[in-house]
Amino acid sequence: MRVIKSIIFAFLLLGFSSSMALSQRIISALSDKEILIDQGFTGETLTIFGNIEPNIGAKKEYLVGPFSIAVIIQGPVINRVVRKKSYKFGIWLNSEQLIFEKLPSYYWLLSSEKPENFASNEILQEAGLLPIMQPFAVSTKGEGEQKIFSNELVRLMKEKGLFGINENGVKFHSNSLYSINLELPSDVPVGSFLATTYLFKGGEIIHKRSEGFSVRKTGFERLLGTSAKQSPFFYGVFTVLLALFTGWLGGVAFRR
Amino acid sequence: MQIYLPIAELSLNIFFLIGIGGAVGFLSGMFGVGGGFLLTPLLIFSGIPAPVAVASVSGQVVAASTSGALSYMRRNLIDFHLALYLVLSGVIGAFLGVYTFSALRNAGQIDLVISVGYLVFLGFIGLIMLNEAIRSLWRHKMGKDIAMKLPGQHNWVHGLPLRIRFKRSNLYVSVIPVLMIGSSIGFLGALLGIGGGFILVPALIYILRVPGSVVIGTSLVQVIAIMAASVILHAMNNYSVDVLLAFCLMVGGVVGAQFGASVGKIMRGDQLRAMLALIVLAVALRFAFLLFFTPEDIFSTSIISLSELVK
Repeated sequence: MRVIKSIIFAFLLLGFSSSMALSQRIISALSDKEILIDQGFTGETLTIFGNIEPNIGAKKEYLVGPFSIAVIIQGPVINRVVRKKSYKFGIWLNSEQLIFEKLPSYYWLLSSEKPENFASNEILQEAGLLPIMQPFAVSTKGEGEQKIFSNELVRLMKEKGLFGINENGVKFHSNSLYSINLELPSDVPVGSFLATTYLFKGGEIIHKRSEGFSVRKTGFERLLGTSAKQSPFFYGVFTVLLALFTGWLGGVAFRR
Repeated sequence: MQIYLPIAELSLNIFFLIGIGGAVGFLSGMFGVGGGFLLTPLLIFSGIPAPVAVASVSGQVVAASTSGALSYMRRNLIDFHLALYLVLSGVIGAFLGVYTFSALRNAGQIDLVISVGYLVFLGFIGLIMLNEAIRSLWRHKMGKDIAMKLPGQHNWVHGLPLRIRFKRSNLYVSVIPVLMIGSSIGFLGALLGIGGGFILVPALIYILRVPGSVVIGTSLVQVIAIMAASVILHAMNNYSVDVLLAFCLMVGGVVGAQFGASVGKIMRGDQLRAMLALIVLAVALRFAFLLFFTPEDIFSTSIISLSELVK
């Protein structure tokens, strides 16, 4: 049984390497596997370093470019509501709203140049690189409004720095070595993130690599965040006791 | 120095937070008011989500009122019997206030209600205070130092049934207006993130005829109780109490109040009231702008939790 398994495995490996023999692959590493949010957190820059290498068994001369790279970074999914104000009864108030379910809380597309320059629309669409940032709206409202609201959502998320496109975001340091700098704002969502790198050559995707990292609260911030959610009653009582104590201390310290 | 607020999920400058806590504390010490009605709007205008601002300021108000209440208690200037009735009805009001808050938040109208609520109450109170202070200042200028006319001993409220004797306040009055005042202050406090002292004190004086000596101490006890209840209820219902934010505000507020109180002793009462009236009106005006002028952006977005979706 064991022997059969290893034979199958060997065949698979052989098949795999022969079909990929003419291609290149990316190896990459993140500067941080974990972004920790603590008291002094004001956002962070995450760096991804990568190198394009010939595949195992490929001949060295195949490492000729030009290569193009596109990276999509996605945060954990959340639900968001988009509201529109209108002038009614003499005042401005929220009159319409649309809920967007399972929306990425963070979405950035970084590339070495305009994606349209290095691949056709069909290929970009297949890889999920196009259409850019069209969140899926769940609502009973008509198509037209959905379109308007989803465009507005993308604009608002871009203003918050949570969505974005940077067509110079991938920097090549040599023919094969590249790096990406990713700005995570101070209100970056907490959860697991996925960075997917696409390697393009001659208009085709020749390699794809995904890497995960996580953003989480640590230490005191984590303790506060989880206790606020998990034991809200005691958290509230604690806040009240803290307030009573602070007030009492103030009264004692500055007795008047 | 930036500090990350774990519930608001953003970072703000710690000196800014202690600073506005201190500035509002200074004013509250000077005028003898809680300061929630200034602090909540200031936080909202500095980008903190309204639910977090309302819930966290409630915690700050508890701290700010405690040192004052303790000093009144030492001087035996609290009517605990009356406070008990106000507290019980106030906590019920706070309950209703927090549930209304959650419902409005889910409907996307909480910002509107906060704006309208602040505009109406601050505008109303501000105008009354300004009017009263200007008259008093005018009299002072004319040299005629007429003593304030004391309110009559009885009014229609005193004719209502279910009367109870409150010894400390020297009152024999129906519980109906007491409970109504208590519960409406609790409701407004929880909804708007204000202690409500600046509404409660005039109500106790002019409606119930509570003597001036015990009115502040007694109202502080009620403010502490309803704000403590709203903190716990907001924490359980909306998960919106940011203890770190509240603590920064408390520290600033408690210290600022002491300095404010010493300045308040130097200034004349009518001058103080005129200044407070102008501040109150300025905040009301800021909310009027939000309501009546075309917003910069008519679209807004916020994260909603799954539990809200189900509702």
